[in-house]
Amino acid sequence: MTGPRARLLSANAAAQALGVRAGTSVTDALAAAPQLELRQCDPALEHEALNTLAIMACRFTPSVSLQAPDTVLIEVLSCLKLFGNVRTIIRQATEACQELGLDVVHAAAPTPLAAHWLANYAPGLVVEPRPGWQAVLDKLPVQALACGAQVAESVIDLITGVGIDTIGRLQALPREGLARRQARSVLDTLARAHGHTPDPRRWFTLPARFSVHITLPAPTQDVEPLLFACDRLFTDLATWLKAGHAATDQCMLHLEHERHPASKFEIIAAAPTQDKRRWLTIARERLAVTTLAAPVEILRLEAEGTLKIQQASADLFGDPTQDDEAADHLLERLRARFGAQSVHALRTWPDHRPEKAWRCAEPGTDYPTLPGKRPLWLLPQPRPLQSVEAFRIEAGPERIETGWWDGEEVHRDYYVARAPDASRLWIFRDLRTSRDWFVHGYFG
Amino acid sequence: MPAANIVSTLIEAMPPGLVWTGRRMAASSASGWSTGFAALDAELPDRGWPRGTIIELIAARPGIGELGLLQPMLRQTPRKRWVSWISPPMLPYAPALAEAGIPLSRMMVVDTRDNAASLWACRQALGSRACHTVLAWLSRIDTSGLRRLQLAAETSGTPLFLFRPEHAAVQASPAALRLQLEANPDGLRVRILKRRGPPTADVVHLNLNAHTHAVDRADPAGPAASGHYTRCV
Repeated sequence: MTGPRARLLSANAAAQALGVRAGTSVTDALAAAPQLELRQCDPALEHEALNTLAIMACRFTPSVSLQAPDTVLIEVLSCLKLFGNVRTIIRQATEACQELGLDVVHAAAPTPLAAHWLANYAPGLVVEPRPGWQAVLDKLPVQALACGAQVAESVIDLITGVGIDTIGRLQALPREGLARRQARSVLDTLARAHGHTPDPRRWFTLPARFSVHITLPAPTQDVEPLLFACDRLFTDLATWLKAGHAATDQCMLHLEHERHPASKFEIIAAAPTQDKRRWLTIARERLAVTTLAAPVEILRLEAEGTLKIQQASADLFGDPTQDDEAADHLLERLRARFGAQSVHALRTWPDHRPEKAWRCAEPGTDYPTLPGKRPLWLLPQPRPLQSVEAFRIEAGPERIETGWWDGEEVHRDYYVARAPDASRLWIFRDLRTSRDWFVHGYFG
Repeated sequence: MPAANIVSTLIEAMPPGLVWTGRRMAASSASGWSTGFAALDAELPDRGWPRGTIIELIAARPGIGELGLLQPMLRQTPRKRWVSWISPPMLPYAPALAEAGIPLSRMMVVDTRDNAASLWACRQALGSRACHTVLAWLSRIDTSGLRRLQLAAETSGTPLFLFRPEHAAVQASPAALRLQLEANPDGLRVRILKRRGPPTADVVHLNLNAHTHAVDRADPAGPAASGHYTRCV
């Protein structure tokens, strides 16, 4: 809120020591503590944080509901068996929130409204659904009714005005009297909080496309701060993937500069993964070998087209996929640094010309092979020989005359020759023009 | 009877374990991978290529038969593991590798830009524990670089075959095994410069043809046939 009626939403410990409290008007607060630093609240950012929290919660249960501006409600009764008990879920969720950099309070109760109230007025409380659990609500202040905007503020003022300060005392009032004083909403709310009437919620749906950004406090070109920001982005991505029980093998990192067009990095892993460390390693290698055109202001990470993964059951005999993962991991690391073309396997190719009888291949993929009695080493380019007098011919000639159709015709006689140092070479005589001798390989 | 023979007869007559002869090699806890050449295995402390160390192969130039020496080892590449070729000096030729029964899809050839990048790739390949073996051709490497690689090899238990030029033979090296290779009309002459055991001046002659050609292909999975050899002292 701006203008003369603006109020403080929260104050840190230092401000509270000066007598500034949440709810004080800005004018009063500045009068009490002129050195106060004020920060405007940003509803868009708050909404984004709430979304992140909801995405995180989706990993536990599909029944997640947003309660703007600051609460996420999750229904866990249906998934308690999987996690054992509610405290396990709370512990895991708290850890996940810390990783996301969110400071949260929590509470658990048999109805969503009760949990919401307890999180605000008795954080950390876990209420088991035993008969008579509603008693814990009795001690809560009447102001709790405003949580989630269930009851208008004027009604709460009316109730406190007659000296009713807790839910318990409100509960004890005659129902007809409350209903007559335009406080029907109070009765409805109480009934829902106590679980006497159902309280349906709108469920949150996971966004199909992932896109988050971080604005850096100061533009930078250094790799370390960029990686630090990337770590946050990848954590968010991993959270989103875990929520959808999905994995992805690629995402796009945009580094936005002030004047230059954004630098884009395609982060490609060899196999779909949820592990943020893998992307971080790839990003580290990519950034290390790139010179950025200008300082980076905003980092944006986008991903889509994810793959649903099969949850692995705990295996009695260790993890059989571990070997594969290590192999993929190495491949993607090397490719991130040197480029995909520079890391390859080999395959044979049906062509008689020795330089065309092989191809680069995708590592790990099997192709039909055409073995041949050939040297283990082939020179990328045949090397001219001055003379062959010192060589002893051991086998040959093998005539290779082919390739007239694609302009790279060869017309050669190949021999296996023994060099003076006793190594075996594969040499040929070019019959096409000059009848010169060349070395083409070594029987290494 | 020469004196040496009398001594060895005497020793043999005694109960085993009473006399320790200097020629005996330290028994290593981990057994090595057979080189595929019985003559060479007999000279190596681990009865084969040691695991988790640098193995230096020193030769005047590439192409004299060093790949032939490794063929039996490469043939045993398991599925799901790589053989990394870090900046090879020429093209490892696919038809010949296929002929030797080496699985082409598990060969991972890495073309690096410079020596520093090759070193980095070596460390990654060793550290990943995803490699059956790593073959590397480095244009130069100092002793501290060698020590770092040796440490990486030890930690991961992966052997690193380092192909080095002849002048490297005089450089100190933490490698557990250093072999000097020379071509020879019927194969390869291997001089053991360093091993974990008593020094030896023996030269092992290996016949590579027994492995490069169809002789072995009938039974590629079985134990590699012993190379034909003669020993000179």
